[in-house]
Amino acid sequence: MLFIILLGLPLLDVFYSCCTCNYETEKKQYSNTGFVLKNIDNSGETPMESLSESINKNAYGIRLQISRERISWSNKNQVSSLFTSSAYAMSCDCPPAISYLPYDKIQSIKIIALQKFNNDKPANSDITEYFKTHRTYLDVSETIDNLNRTFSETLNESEEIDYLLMESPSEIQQQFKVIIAFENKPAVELITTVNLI
Amino acid sequence: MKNVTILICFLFIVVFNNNTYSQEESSTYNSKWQLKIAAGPNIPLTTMKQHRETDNFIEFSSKPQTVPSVSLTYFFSKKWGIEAHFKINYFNNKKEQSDNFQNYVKTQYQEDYYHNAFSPVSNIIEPLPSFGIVYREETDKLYFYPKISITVTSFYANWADIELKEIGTNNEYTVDYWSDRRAKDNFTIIPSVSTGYKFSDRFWLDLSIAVPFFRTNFSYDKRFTNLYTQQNTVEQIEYKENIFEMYVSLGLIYTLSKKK
Repeated sequence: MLFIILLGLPLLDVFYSCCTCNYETEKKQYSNTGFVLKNIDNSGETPMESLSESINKNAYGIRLQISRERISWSNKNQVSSLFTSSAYAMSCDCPPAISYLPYDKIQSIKIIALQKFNNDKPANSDITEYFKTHRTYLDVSETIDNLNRTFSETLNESEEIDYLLMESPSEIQQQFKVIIAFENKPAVELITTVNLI
Repeated sequence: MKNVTILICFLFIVVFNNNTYSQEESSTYNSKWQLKIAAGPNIPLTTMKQHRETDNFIEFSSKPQTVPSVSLTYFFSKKWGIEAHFKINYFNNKKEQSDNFQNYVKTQYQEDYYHNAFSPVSNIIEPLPSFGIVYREETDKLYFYPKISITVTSFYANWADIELKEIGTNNEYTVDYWSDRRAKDNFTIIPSVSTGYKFSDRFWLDLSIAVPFFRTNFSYDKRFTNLYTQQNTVEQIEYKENIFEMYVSLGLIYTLSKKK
């Protein structure tokens, strides 16, 4: 019996071994430093930024451009195991060498119609529900988790997200205000003006 | 199909009513193992095509094509034997069917939508083994073998997908084509006759006619979905057809072993 146990122990080690990843995981933080709002015209095959005063009301959208910057260093974690040897490891799933966590998490994104949108939505109404993401048709709120995501290895320093207007307004002249609220800093407000014909 | 049936009946009558064929001579009925190598046209007599776009997703050739085959026959008694037959079926209409599908999408949607269509149709070579029983009638120089075999005819009924972006709006749609299982296996019955001339003790010239038959029983769901509202409409396209083919082959039989 003792012989079997002695023979079995090294085999057990093969199954339960894990790697010693020979580096410390650096955790950094990033901040959302810049936001730009643009009108997009989706009449064609893909949404295009438009400087035109008038855009087709059935193919209108807004493009939110986000800039990020790394801001600080954080703790380092050595990834290793105390009880098992790395020599027999069958595969190594080491964590990323660097990960970037959000410093100023976005809490909410709201889109306000500053002019009368339709009979149900007078001026200064929240019309966030009328905007959906390009192709996936997600609600605006469903995109927040993705904007607050942790980046591995490389920080995506700029990102664009297109929100398409899925309801046509009754009034031609429109002004939209986008309010981006954060957990730990003042909200950012962006305004765009367009004639939706 | 009628002509084939008449031809088979005629050959049967000729063989069984003619006394010259029923003579038993020393060189008749003495082959035990026979190997045959043959080739010839495989001609579809009916088609499973429904004249719909889904025809282009099915990897089954509805065109005449030249097909090689090999068979091994073992006679366990004077009149009866068993046969293993091996035929190569192939489908090489990938380009034509892909082009047809793209043309369909263009014609159907070009006016109102930007479109992108895909179906994973590919050319295939598929071995088709069949097994059956053989009856034989022989004379010194001629022979006539009616046979019946069974096999499974397999082909792929692929999925397809069309992405549509409506011109001048924010609306996008998908058109999905989906059949319950991609691989279709169809039980197939193959009545056939072989006849020929014994030009030497070991080598015989052979002419065979086989009429494989199977019935397809599957359908495609065509689902048109509005990606924004997630509303969809489904249309069913059915493939329930009797498929008859005719394989006419010319070959050479080699008698491997003989009765002592």
